[in-house]
Amino acid sequence: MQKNGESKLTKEESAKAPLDLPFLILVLLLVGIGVVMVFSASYASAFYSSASNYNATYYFNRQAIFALAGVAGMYGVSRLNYPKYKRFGFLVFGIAIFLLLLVLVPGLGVSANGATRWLKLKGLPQFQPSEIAKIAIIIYFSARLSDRKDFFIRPKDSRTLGGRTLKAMHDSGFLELLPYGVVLLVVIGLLYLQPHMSATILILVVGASLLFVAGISWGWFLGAGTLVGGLLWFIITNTDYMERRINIWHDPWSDPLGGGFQAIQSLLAIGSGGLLGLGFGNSRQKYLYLPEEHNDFIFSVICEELGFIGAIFILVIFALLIMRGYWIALHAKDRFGTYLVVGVVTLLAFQVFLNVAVVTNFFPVTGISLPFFSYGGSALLIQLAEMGIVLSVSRQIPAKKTG
Amino acid sequence: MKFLGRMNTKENLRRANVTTKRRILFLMTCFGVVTFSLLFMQLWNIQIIDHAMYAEKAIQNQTRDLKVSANRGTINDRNGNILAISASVHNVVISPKDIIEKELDQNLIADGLATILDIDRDSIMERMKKTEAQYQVLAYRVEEEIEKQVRKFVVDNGLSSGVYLEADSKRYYPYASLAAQVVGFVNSENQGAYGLEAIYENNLSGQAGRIVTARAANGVEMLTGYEAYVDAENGNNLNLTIDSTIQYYAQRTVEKGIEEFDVLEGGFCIVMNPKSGEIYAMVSLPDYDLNQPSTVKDVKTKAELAAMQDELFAMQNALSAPQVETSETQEEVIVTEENKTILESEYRRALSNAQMLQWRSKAINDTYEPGSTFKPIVVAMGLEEATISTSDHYYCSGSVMVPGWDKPIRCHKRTGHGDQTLREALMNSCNPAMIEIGQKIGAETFYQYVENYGLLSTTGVDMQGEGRGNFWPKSEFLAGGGNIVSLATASFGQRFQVTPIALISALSATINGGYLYEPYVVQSISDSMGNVIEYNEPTLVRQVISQATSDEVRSMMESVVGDGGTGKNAFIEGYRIGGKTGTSQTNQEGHLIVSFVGFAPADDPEIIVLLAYDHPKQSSPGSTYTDSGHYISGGNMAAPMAGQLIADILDYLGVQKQGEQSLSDVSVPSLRGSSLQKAKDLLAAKNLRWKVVGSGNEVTDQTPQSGMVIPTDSAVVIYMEEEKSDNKTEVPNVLGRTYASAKRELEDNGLYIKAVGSEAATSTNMIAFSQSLTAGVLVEPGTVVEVYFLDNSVQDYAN
Repeated sequence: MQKNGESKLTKEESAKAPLDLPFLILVLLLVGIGVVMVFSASYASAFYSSASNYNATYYFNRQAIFALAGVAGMYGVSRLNYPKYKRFGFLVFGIAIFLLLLVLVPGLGVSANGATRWLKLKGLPQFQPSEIAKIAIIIYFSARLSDRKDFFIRPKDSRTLGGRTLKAMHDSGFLELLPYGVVLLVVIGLLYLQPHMSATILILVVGASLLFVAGISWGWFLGAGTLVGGLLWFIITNTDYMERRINIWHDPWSDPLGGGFQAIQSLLAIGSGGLLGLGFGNSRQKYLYLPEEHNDFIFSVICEELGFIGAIFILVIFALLIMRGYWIALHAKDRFGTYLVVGVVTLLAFQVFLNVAVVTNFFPVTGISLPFFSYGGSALLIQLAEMGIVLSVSRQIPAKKTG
Repeated sequence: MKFLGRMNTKENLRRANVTTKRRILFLMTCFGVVTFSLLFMQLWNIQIIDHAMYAEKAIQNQTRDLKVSANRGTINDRNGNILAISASVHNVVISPKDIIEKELDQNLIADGLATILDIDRDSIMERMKKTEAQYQVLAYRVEEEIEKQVRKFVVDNGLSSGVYLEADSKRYYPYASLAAQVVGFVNSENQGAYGLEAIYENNLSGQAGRIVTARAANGVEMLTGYEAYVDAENGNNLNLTIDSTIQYYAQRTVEKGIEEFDVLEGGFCIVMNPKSGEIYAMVSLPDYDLNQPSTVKDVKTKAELAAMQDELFAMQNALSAPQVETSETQEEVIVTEENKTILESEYRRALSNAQMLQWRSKAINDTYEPGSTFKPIVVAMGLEEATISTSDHYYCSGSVMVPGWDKPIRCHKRTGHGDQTLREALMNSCNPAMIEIGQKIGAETFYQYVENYGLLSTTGVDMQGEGRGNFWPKSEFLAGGGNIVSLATASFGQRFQVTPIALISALSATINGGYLYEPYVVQSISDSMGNVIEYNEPTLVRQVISQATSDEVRSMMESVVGDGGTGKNAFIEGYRIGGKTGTSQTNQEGHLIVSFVGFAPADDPEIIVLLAYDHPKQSSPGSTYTDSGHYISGGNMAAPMAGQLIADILDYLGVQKQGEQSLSDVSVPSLRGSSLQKAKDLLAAKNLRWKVVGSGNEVTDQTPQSGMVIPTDSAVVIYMEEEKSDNKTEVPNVLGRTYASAKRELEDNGLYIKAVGSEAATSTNMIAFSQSLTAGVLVEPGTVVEVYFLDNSVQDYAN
């Protein structure tokens, strides 16, 4: 890692440096497989549904176009000089907050399944502002963390009680953590209004990972972890709703047509796939049994069609991509680049983990999509743009000194 | 450690970089390795360890398993008439869930189906409220007409996503109660519950097939679907030895007798081929309609049950009505819940008793004392063992003393039969003679024969719940060199019990040359294509007596009917009928079972009939007559009915009448076209009188028509170019009259008599017992009325 601060390379210079090829190839591989799997998974529901005009390739066609556009977008973003984002950190964050507020405006927000997560603006494809919020948090946190100097509040008087308190807060890092906490609370508060559980978790995890990488004391994590854990335990043991959900999670067959339905259908798909799967295109669960089969539960279809071998293959690609991402973070030329990449890669990693954990009933069911695979144009565009950011960081990795 | 430490020194910067690097490596391990390892383990568990379990559940989830019901086999009589058949019907089913989801008009459905199915509209609405359900049967097994209406209603209103028809099958019994206890019935699941339906369930039911189809969750076939078929195997058909015509005759005979003789507890009749054991007919009354087996058919029992129901209803009303506290009500019978519960259970018991009674067959399930119908068997034993001979003489003083019994055993003829040959002893059904024969045979031999005749075991008939006779235990019967009293009573068929089927089998062996056959009702089993897969040959159990003995006893039994024995009321002109009457006692005072066993033709029997009436009602306790004036005995009740039945059956079977016609009957010659003189000559030659109407030269018409059989000395009306009158004449009532009186009465009305019954119809002992045309019916003049005469003096009571 080099010195903190602006890049010394010119824009031309940065464009000349090569992309990180392994990362690019892994991304393209996943996008390619993802689009093909959308084709297979959505085939039946597209065929039977009026929403897709009974066109079996409806979702595939759309996803393929977004993938092409996304890859182009990724390339474009990779050519940008990322250090310049630092200036816009707060602006991006502001826009994200604005969009999250817009969702709450009746007529603009689009509701589905009892939650309002989508925003429909004229001239733009429908998208989730929470996706913007994630990247905004990453950019804002990265910018702020990379730019910090020795803390600006100097405890002037340690003789007064207030002064001593202020000093203690300063020394423990509380004062510096406070803005991040406020930002996270604002975003979480807005997400709670949608509500959007999985986005909340992701943003918390991403925010925490950035603070973690930036060097926050383990004590804060222990404290926050204990606090969140205790809170969860309290909620689970004291509300019937949560208790019921946990029971259904343990035994989906206790409510096969209600709360356990999705988990059961997903497990049946994954389990019946076995070692080698039923073969590409041969999923049976996708015939309207599995809900969201080309969306949140696309991985179940993959398991059913491609078997354990296929599923492991895809997860290994994800794992390689993620490790390569962290490798790029380690080698970024500056702190900002490091943080950006850590944020983006952690976001990706945790989303993959959460999705697969949910569809395998490792975690209770919550709505979360699988990056590059789940159907959804705007999400794919944003994810590829995020990969573009990682690639742009990779371009500016200083070449190894020869010899 | 502080949050980041100070940044403005090189040392701090280096340290911070190290921390960041370490932490990125930590994240890399965490999110690149640990989380994925967890996921691998989870996938391993699901896809490899539990693969089989999930695969099976997935198949269940994705396939629709449709049952294809097999057609139940039919039950046919020996001529292919269908006694039981399954027809396809439909259940009307609604799916409340789909009705809601597809937004079908609930009111329209309720109104339409309520009208078509004739059920309560509200109940349909109630069923539709179960919106989670997809399968609610509104009507079971509707027939084609209703089904078509429902189908039209559904199609016309586009309701097929919520209302549908489900194929099912229903058992029909076209002959209703005919041979009810033989055929039996099926339960609501179409499984055999009783009778042949039950014991041949495995043959009749067939094997249900299945269609397994891969379906999308919306019920549409999957694009890459698969299907598996298991064909339904239709059930096999039963082809019975039962002849529905003979069965009908037998049933009619039992019914008629029950009415005629005030019979309280029904009756039974078995018609069998004595040379094979094939059962042609088996009747047991009370019976029931196979299409409604639970409905009590017997009118009297039905009325009793209805009365109980009324009482229950009244109790219910009394209980639910507000209590009125007056002294008056307190004096009345207090209706309590307890009383009601008692009556309810009584009602249920009575209903179930009545059902069991009509379901069981007296002919095979129950036992009774054979009485005098057992005597031919005793005679056969004696002749076979040569302990008696046809030249023996027996003296009857009216009673006999038996060692070991302090009272004399009386013959039914108190004055005694006097000296009789063996043949006469059987014709007279003489008890003292039988006791003497029994003693000559000896207890041990007697017992051996009872066993050989199959009376100690079941016959093995292929029917449900065959009973077993109840004879003395061997040790008791043979105790002290033979229990004289038991042997004595057994010799005239008392104090032991047999099933009717066992008795008729034993009697068949007595007259068919000595061969005991296993009786059977299933002739063959054929598959649904009609190929015979199993054919039942007659099963010979053993030869019990020799051909010679059998011939001798058969001849004696013909004398019982034909030569003026106790069975003479069974005599039918033109047929050689043999038989034996019986009047059996029961444990109950005044409860007698009158019976007759008969066979024909006597020289080579083709049928054997056992007919019995259970408990003809005495006009008063101790009386030997019924209210309608019939003497209670087998000879006076069962014999005439059986004789007529045998004649009907022989006629149906096409057995030629034998012997000469009675001298008193002639057939009317054809007179048309002849001159008056020629006609008179023709009639005179036949011993007929004439009456001339008109004055033409040629006979243009005659009454009765040529070929009619009328008694001699009757007047034939000759029309000489004169129109015959169209006026009809009324049939008079001649019941209870002698032959001469009845003939005169009929002739006065322009009708002719044809006497049926004993040969000596013209004797004054014979009185008209029944007439073929009911009194009051209008008929053409010249019609011949058959009048059945019987001898009211036959008395074989007391044994």
